[in-house]
Amino acid sequence: MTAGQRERLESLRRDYARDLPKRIRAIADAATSLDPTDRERLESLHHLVHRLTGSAAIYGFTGVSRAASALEALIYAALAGTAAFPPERGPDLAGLVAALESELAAAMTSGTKGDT
Amino acid sequence: MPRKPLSRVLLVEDDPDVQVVASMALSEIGGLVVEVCGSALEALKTAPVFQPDLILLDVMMPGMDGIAALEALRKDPRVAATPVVFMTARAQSHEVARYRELGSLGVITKPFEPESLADTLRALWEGRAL
Repeated sequence: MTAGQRERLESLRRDYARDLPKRIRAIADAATSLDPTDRERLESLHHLVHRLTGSAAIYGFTGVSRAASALEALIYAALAGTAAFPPERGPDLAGLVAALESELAAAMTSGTKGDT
Repeated sequence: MPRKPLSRVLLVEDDPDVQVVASMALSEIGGLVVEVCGSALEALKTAPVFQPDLILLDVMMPGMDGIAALEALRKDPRVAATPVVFMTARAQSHEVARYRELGSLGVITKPFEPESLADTLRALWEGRAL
């Protein structure tokens, strides 16, 4: 890989890092306002989180990706098991969203790259 | 008979963030000619026109997913024989086995390394073990 290609990759990573808080805020907002009976919104939230799981890992935000993956698994299980999000899993959802926000804060503190 | 060198790749990926880095990895770093589609339906329209050597297909996409897209591609005689490589974050061994049973050439797991994505694809294309 040439130096120019490396710089272009770094530039993509910086762009991604700049937008990351907005993406995670969108997920937190969607999770907070989730209507447990609304399967469509649950699917939409799953889609947002699934994208974050994949893209964060590719751009080097492994901690964010791990936290997103745990959240994705919870939503996936809810989608697979019932037509609605089980109310008793609400605290789990809130906890995993908080963990995701915590990983974001760690990533932003330590910079745009690395094992955060 | 050995295949001709891999040249044209149709990348099917719904996430713009992954699209941009995968596209760069395949074209700028890997030297391949790449066309990008953001959905399976778009890929079904584009593939017969672009005539890729290989289709790199995300498994989990909204609407028609990668599995359904492969089945649809196999029904179109213009691209029925085009090799497909799946790209997925879910790559447990039974899932990889299922993807192979469906006729895929291989599976690339996310996260991939942009630096080596094209080499990985070439290895699958040439039938080299990874």
